[in-house]
Amino acid sequence: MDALVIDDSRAMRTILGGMLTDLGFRVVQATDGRDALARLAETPAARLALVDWNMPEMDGLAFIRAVRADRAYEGLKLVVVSTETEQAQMATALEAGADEYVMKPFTRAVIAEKLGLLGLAGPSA
Amino acid sequence: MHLTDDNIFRVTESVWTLILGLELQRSGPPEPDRGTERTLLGSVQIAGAWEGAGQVQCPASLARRAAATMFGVAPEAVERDQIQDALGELANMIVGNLKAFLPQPSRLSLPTVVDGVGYTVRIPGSSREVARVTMRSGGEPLVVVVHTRSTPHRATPLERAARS
Repeated sequence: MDALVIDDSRAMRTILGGMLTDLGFRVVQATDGRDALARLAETPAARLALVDWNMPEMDGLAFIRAVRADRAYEGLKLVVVSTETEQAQMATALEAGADEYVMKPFTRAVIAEKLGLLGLAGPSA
Repeated sequence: MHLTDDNIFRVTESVWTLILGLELQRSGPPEPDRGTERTLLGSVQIAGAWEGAGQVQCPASLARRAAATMFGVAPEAVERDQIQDALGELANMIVGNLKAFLPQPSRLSLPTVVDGVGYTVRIPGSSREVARVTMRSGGEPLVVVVHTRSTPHRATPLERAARS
């Protein structure tokens, strides 16, 4: 199962990518929302995207809105992974079409739990 | 909720242990000497109902250990851009969580990182320090500093466009 990890930090992409790989996902990395849309077009079978909020070029919220405006990706689960902890911002992300919200810092167990809630416990589970 | 030294330590400890698996203790000075040793400083600005910035500063050797953990490689194998990236993300997580103790709504900037010897840092607009907490990890100093603008910041046209 393919998954995107979208974050402008290479370190954070490495951490999240490692967690998803351990769960059995094939991971594609993207550095911002615009890059992610291009990667998504090359990976149409992706079932999951972990999305940072604050990124250059195109932020996470704009990416979510772009994905939800395209019916080709209606099966894609979107999980925001962010340091933005304000309730209003979480609500905005969920209203825009995000399926779950994870606050940084996180543990491997939290990521696995969120994927479980989305029916994406991981191909190896 | 309001920002205290204890909140700053708890937030930093949470990031340090959950992401790096490294221990962290409260301590007083000495802080890293920016004048004689290579240090890194990650800075994230906050704009909105509260305006200012949070900074995370440590010696390059501690930043290297942190980056090695985040990238899953040996410390001697970590490249300079990986160290800078890692400290920027750690600053992003620490300052982002400190924002919960400040008036809302507000937004975070992308992190910026300074890496070198003998540098000075100027925060845009007049500012004053409101908190400084010194900690140690593996015997090396880690400092978190919070500055607030002492005069209201006038948004530039670019900032206004970004917020709209």
